[in-house]
Amino acid sequence: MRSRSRTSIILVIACVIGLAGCGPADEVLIDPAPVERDRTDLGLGPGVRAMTAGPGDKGSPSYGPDDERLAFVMDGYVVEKDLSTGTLDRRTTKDFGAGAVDWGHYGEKLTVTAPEGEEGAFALYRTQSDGSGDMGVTLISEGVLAAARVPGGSDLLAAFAGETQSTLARLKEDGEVSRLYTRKLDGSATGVSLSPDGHRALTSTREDGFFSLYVVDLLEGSVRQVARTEEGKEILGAPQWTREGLYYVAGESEASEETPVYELYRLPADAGANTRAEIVSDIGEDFIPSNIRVSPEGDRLAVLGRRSLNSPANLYVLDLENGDLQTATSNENMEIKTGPGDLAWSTGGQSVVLVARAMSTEIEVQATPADKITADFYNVYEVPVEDLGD
Amino acid sequence: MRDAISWFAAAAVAFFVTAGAFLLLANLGGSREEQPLSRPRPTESGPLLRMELREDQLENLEHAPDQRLEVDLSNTGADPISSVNATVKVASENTAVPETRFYRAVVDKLKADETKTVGFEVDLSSFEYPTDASLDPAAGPPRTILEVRATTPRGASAIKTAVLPP
Repeated sequence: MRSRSRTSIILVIACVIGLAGCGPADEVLIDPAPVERDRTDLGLGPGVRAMTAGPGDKGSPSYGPDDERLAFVMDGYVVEKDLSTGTLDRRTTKDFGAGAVDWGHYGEKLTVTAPEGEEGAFALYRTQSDGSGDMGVTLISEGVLAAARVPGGSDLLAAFAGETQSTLARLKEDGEVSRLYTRKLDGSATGVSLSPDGHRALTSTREDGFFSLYVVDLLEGSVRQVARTEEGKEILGAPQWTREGLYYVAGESEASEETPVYELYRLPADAGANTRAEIVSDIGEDFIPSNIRVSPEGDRLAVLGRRSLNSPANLYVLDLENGDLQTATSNENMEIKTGPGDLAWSTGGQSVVLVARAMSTEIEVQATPADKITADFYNVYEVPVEDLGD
Repeated sequence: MRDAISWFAAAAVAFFVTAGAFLLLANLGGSREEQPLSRPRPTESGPLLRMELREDQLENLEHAPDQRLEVDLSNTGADPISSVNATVKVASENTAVPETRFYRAVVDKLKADETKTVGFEVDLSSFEYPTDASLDPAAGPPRTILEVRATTPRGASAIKTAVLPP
């Protein structure tokens, strides 16, 4: 008994000695990390974040597969930004003349388009994008009118220019044609979009003032026309293949009306030549869409447009299943680019990037270096689109 | 059994005594010149150098060589400034343009509450573009960026940027 109490005393003393020095010493204050400044309202509403800053006409933003990198075209050359470090790497020479950029399936290579002499046609290039600073590009194809990445791989589906028709071909990563689709499409291709399973392609073409939509079965090679616009009407950008059908923006072309008015149309995926496209009323009767982009999951549509003719352009997200239209930006004085490639989803579908600049024409002196100014130049903005309306 | 408990207790005591001794030594050694880990704070209470680039003169500038640009430099501190190094950078909004024009001037001795005007003759003529493909017709012709920086030998600085219409 005496021995047990002696042992207990020894253990208590040992613990007291052992814990000596473990209490609070002189307090050391560490200042909190500075709050990220670019989370404030930049003219497009709260929560919108500037992804780029400084001069340069930016366009065609494209997230890398891991959403940690962003590629875009700036003044005709390709730039890649590491979003975790903010590092910018130029991927082509400055005189390259790039028109658009997209990522390869594994995020290692970029597909770059550069306009050719022929109207509407462009050349396709592949460039390494491994941060090595290598600006070497490889020409993989020429005479392309429209192209899209085949889901789940690094192949491309490209529409090639003919005299009066367009030909579809599936290209491997190095540009080798792996399958040529012999059924030609009337007119010059203006856009292409693939079904989520990659088995069918939706292609828009233009011929003698008329625009048509074709669905091409990429397994069987069959082609069916699903829409043809009236004379004087055009299809804007690329049509979008979604889980809920085929969507496209069409309306009076500028040639026939001073202020063009467009509508968002929908067709079922199994539409035939006699199927009439319906105007999507969920976005509102007076809504004027100017650009659309389907989400990676195919269940939502990013819609750039105006609620009415005199309201500012904003980004909206249309839930295709239930028809809910949510407002993602609150723009008052920004000019948002409406080019087909100027709207892109993050790979996870949490955000959409767009390109915008302030519409001010007055000279304003700012106490900021030019490379920190965002609103005055076309810059890329990230708009969070999850939990909209909460 | 009793021996084992005694050995264990003795070993524990030896361990904690040694650990305590090291902790004691560490506390004694670290308390002498300990510095807080907060960021260094600026030694000056506010800017000593202020620069003004008047917007009315910018409106009268033309896209031509030899344009007169004036910048007002003020010492807002209590001590004189020995000199101010002022630079003007003229660049295109189009970043593919390799040319950038730089101009430099030095202002000697700026007394407290004194303002001096420094003038530059700048070339605002149009830049040459590497390729037509670097120009997006929808974006309109590129504008010209004027960036003026002023620094003192003691590190005070000011910067102003203006974007001139095409």
